[in-house]
Amino acid sequence: MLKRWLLFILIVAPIVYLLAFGLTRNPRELPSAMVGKMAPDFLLETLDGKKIDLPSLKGSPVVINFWATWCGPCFYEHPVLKEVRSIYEKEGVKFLGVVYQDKKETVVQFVKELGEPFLVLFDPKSQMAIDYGVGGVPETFFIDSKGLIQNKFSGVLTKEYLKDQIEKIKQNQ
Amino acid sequence: MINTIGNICIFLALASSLAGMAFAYFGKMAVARKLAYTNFFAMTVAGLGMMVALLTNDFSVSYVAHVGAKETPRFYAAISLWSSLEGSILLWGWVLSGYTALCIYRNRNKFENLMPWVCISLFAIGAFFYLVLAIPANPFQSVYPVPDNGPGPNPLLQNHWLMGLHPPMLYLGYVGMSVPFSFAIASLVTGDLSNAWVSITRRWFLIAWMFLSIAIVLGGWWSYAVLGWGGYWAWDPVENASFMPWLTGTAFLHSIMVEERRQMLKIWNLVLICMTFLLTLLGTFLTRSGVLDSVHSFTESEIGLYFLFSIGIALAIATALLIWKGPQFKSPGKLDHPLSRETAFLINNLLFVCFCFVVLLGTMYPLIVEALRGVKVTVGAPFFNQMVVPLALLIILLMGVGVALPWKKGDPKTLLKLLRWPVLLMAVAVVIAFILGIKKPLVLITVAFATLSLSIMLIEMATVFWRAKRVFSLNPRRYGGFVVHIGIIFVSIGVALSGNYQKENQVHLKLGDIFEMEPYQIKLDKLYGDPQPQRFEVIAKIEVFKNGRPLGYLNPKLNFYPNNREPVGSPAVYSTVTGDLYLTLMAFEHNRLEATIRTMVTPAVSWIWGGGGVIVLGVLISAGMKKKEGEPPC
Amino acid sequence: MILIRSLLFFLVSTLAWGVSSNLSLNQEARQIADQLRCPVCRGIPISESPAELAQDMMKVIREKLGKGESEEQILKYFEDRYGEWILLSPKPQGFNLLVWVLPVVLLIGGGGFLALKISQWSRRT
Repeated sequence: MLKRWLLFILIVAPIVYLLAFGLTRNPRELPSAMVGKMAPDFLLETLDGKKIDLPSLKGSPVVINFWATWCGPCFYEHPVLKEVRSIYEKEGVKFLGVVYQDKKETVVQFVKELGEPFLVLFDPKSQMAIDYGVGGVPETFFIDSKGLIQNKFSGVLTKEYLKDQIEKIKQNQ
Repeated sequence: MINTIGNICIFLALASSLAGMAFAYFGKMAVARKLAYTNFFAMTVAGLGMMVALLTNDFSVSYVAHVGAKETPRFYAAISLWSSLEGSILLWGWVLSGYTALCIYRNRNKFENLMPWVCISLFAIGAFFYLVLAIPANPFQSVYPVPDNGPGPNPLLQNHWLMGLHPPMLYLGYVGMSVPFSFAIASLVTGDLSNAWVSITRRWFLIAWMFLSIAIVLGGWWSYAVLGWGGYWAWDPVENASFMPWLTGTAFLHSIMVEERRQMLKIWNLVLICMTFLLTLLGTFLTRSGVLDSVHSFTESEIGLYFLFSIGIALAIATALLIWKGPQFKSPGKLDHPLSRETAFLINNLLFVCFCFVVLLGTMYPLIVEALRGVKVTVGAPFFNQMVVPLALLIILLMGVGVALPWKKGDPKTLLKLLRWPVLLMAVAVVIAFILGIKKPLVLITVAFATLSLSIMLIEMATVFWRAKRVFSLNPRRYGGFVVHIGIIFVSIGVALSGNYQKENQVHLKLGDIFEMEPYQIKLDKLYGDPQPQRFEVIAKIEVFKNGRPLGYLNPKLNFYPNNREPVGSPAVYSTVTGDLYLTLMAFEHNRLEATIRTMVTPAVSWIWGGGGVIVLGVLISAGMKKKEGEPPC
Repeated sequence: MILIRSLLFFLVSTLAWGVSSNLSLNQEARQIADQLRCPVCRGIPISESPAELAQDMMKVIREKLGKGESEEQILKYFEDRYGEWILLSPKPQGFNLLVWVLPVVLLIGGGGFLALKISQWSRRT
């Protein structure tokens, strides 16, 4: 009798547990492997053709936002980025916006109309995006002054979250 | 108006199911039967009501407001009944009510012991679906204010006529498994497991299995014709979900023959029926709750909880019955000789169960790892292919050798004599394949085993025809089975060749440019936009030549839908028996002078669809044809 | 006997061909890409995905191959950047060994059990 109960529980319990566990998960949420690692170097061009690389930003905390003009959510977080940038840029925090799979002309047009929430950089073959493990836009990386990636966020940023994260990377001097 | 009717019908179906369970339990089968018909009537009215609402764009119905659009062509409006969660469950419940009524009607004078419990089980499954329809996935909610228009169905699902066929086939297959399952439950409860039961169940099972086979092949075809990546099977959780019950079902269809013949494996067959049914529920759970990442899961989580309960209860009941009531069917195993068809069937079961286990493990593994280690992993094609190909090869081999073995006792000498010609043909086929440029060992082995099995079966059929001047009517079950096997062999060859010898290129073409890929040449002729009511199409008109001879035009498209940011491609395919030319429009310049085209030349893809047709033919022969003489089955 | 001999022939030839593989850069890139999951489309390897990101990843693979990096190094690169889930088949080490070993255990165990049962059952007559 005991053996039968044992068998019953051994069959039913793990399956039900596994499926119940599955319900609590979101399979589309993929964690970043880059958090806690040194930010990979990059060499990208700005709108006016200047080259920017990571070592030139050493010593200051950096916020890197991957975005595109075709990305709806990006559009909604730009005002947030603009506002927060106006507070923190004075304190030495750098804001970079890496263009992801987009045409230069559309970006130029977009920026002309809506302003720059960050320093726009072009990543023509998604090389930097792949280096940073980007799977879609918008994604935002928070890098401290030592060049360590402290956090990554996928999705639309809120002001509170952005400020909170920036305070964290500022502390890690 | 339709909302009210729909809701009344759903509640009527729910109430009649619950009442039916009670009446069946107290032995009032005449009433229970009427309730089953009421049930079917109610669901038919609900289903047709939804069709009408979709066709007349009645946006006061929540489901129509969710998936309808005035611009959607009529055909796609009608089939959007199953393009989203609520509608697909409505269809599900409809099919189930039909099966329930049919099963109860056909067996109205049979199995007096069993039928009450069959009824209770079918009604219980039904009650669950009607409950889901009534509360978390109610398609008949009133929308106010009534919108002028809706977003239209998911673009991927209004892109190809196959969408009109694949889901109903899948539901007919999935839901059809409820009937054998209910018989299994009934016989476990009552302890009645007669031979008549076995043959009735086998036939229901076979039909459901056939629908499932059609659904799997059509699903692959749809994926090939719509998704634009040139493949048909990605080991996606949803595909696996339909494949797993097919695998255990195939095992059952073989081992049930051993039970018919030798009165053994009774418990095992009940286990297989229960597993098959539970796997269909698992499939529903996986696709409808968004537990696993998949191309076409509908992702709703409230409903996930309902399905979790239903799986949990069904699993608990089936397991408990098998553990506590199963042993009453214990039958002494007896074999005359290890070299016999019985053994072949046992090996078949081992291979199919292992096959199913690999698919199940691979599908669930990301979840297992996350639960135990908190890490995300992926299990994809490389894993499945590596694990499954050896099993599949053994199965192909067994398909021919197994049928060559006689029941009871085989004689090695006779077997070797029988295998002489097939082995010779196998060698010839391998040499020819090698000369034709097939050099990958696994493909060569596939060709070898396929030829061996094929020739064993064809030689037997030819010999029988030579002697008796007829084949199928002599023994429809055996030779129908042969035809199914031949269909599977076609599918295997198609899979092996197309999976291993696809040639792919991506080219940027200006108007008038010609691109060459053996043996085809393609020329970008024109690039133009074509506004349709429901979408905007960008079409690349491409002239196709084969070795310089013009074949006509292929028109791969990119479709822009108002409710979808990313365009949805429509690949264009030129299909021949030997292989397909598959063109996808990837991107185009806005000046409409240049386009990026992806070209793929894939051998033998059409063998897979053709093989699917042969399988259906075989099942129809096996299940539908009457045997003329009183010979033992198989 | 013929059957066994031909089976042996196939096994030997499988091994022979397996060793003498000499692939072009493109084929090699495709082979690597077959093992990587496209991050934006689900369940499909980047070699088969029409997505732009997947195409760019293909370019990265080719570039790295051109620089003389090995398959292992390239797979490691993607795993470091994206995480374990980018690999389409779980690496056969540690806990993951389970997923590779369990089916084999089932096949061998089941085969053994079946052989035992068959010999028992056929002795009963």
